[in-house]
Amino acid sequence: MSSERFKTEILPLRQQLFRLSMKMLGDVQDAEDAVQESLLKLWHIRDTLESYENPAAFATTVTKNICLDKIKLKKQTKTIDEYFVLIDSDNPQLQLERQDTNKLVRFIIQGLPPLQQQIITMKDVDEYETEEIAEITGTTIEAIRTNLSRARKKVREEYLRIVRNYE
Amino acid sequence: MQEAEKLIERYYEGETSVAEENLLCEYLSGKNVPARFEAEKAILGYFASEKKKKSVWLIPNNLKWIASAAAVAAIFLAILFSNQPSATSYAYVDGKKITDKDKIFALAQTTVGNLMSGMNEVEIGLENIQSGQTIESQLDVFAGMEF
Repeated sequence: MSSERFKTEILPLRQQLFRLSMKMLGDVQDAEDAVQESLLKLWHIRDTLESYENPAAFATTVTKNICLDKIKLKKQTKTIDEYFVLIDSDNPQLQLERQDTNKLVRFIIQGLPPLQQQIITMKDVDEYETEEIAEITGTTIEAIRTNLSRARKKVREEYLRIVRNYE
Repeated sequence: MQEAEKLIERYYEGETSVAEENLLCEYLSGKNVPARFEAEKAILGYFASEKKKKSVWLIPNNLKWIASAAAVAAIFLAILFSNQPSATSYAYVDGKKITDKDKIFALAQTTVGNLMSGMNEVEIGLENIQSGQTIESQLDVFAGMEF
């Protein structure tokens, strides 16, 4: 599916996907994150979307699964800070990975909320401009910029904390 | 330096463009980067290595079939050439391989010489067969005799 077709066929489903997420998660911010995550996921597999008989139904399934993942994560009650506290203790995997800077940074990024992970990867590895990501997710540039900024600051904070703790 | 500091600040605010981030990355991968940029060096260094990995492995969709066709052709050619006899000269003499061109030439000449003398032997042999006809005519003498 071309990027134009994605914008005319998938993006208009945004409201519908948001309503579904809202019903499942009951929180505006969580629902908004779920919709953005779903749209970014669909964007990355847009080449295969045409093979689905009903791309709209498939988009709904993707969103539903993302919401279910979020509910599961909430049940585990492991917040982002808890994840980093966990890896801060004498974790043998971390001991090994901190010897390699790249592995350590990757490890920290994996601890970010899924939407932040997707945005930071699209901006810093895939080289999308903030405007493009906002267009794909049907959200504002400011919303993407805020999430990107949070993600980058968190990675820096955790990197310095872990490196200093082991010095 | 001040420029880099400003860029880093804007990077963390999510305000930099891709071009500015590449510029920052280039600066941080260079020499004499102040120790206070340690985290940025690590983070942007990681992203640079991920970009490199992608550029090595990612082949655009429309080029994929060309890439696979080229791979098949390469394998085919490799098999074809590996089965070709090599163009170097060698000879086996009494089971021993000789690769020295001059030696091979000398040996080849002697072999041809031997063949020539062999032909003489054949001729002599043929003559003997012809002389065999005299034996036949001698036997004819007994043809009319009754025993």
